[in-house]
Amino acid sequence: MWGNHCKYIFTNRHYGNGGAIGSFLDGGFTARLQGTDWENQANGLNAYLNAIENFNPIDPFDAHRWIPQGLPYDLIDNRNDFNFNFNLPVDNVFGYTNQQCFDALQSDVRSIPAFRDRLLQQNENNQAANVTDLFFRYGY
Amino acid sequence: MVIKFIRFGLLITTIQFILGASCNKDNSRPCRNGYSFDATSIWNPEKQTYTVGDTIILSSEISKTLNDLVNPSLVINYSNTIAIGGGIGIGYLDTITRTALPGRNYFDLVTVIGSLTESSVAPDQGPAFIYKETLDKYELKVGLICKQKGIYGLSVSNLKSPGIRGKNCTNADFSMTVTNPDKHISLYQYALGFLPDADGMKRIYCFRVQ
Repeated sequence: MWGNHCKYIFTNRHYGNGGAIGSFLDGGFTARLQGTDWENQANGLNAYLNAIENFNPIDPFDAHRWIPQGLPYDLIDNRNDFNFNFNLPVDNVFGYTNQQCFDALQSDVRSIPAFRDRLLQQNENNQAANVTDLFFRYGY
Repeated sequence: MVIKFIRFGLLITTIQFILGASCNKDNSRPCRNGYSFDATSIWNPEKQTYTVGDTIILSSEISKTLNDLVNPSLVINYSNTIAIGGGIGIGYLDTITRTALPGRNYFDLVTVIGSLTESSVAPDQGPAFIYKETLDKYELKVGLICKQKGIYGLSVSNLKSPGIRGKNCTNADFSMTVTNPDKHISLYQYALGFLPDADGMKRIYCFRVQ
């Protein structure tokens, strides 16, 4: 989860909207890592951020569904993905930081629910109900 | 001591061999760079307003001969797959809070062709579906029966397939487009105060139940 998050966040930070915008067939940029769109931009996000935003909890055949790769980003951003696509998770959490997520990933945190509990514990239960619901939407 | 060690080593090797030889021939082994295909679906009847008790049907057909979107010259015979499936997301568009809320509980489900199942994750957002494989295509026909008044949006997810039976790295992503000429997006804008993004425009269909 954290590895997926960092991969896309740092790629985005370094390259931004690198490559040509447009469909692959028109010579656009290709970024097909783990379910990304083959267009450089989708959903108002570039391919890297869309890759961690397009988690579909209803999808029965996503082999990687057990990895909640978009969860840290959903803790941080202020966009409720469900408003834009009813297949995506309801996300009413905003304002957490990469540092807060990283700080919660301590050596004794060995599961996603443990990560959730430590994150809330370290941040005065900030938006506890919405955080709990977001983890539930990712299957935890 | 040495003989015991060798025996133990042989035992471990034999167990691994037996386990390795007993793999399921019907499985596929998905890989990162599978195929990418297009798919379409349509909601019927194409009305903006329904009444409680009406059924809205989602129909979709996928040919078994498909062109890969990344390598268009690649024509794939995509038959005998383990499955092709996706999900229907159901949003209740709340005009007071101006947000979309999970709306699965405002509908009953009907299956005509293929199958519908409750999602194990986030079941209040909508069901998952699986296409039925016929001689020359994959087919889906499922319905939602309206139970409660309100404004709703339905979105059909992109599809995934784990692959063709017995063939590794044949998993596929299908980019879904809902082809209703009028998806009544004005209802979405009326309820939420903004328009869906480009991806939402492709797959969201809105209506009112009264």
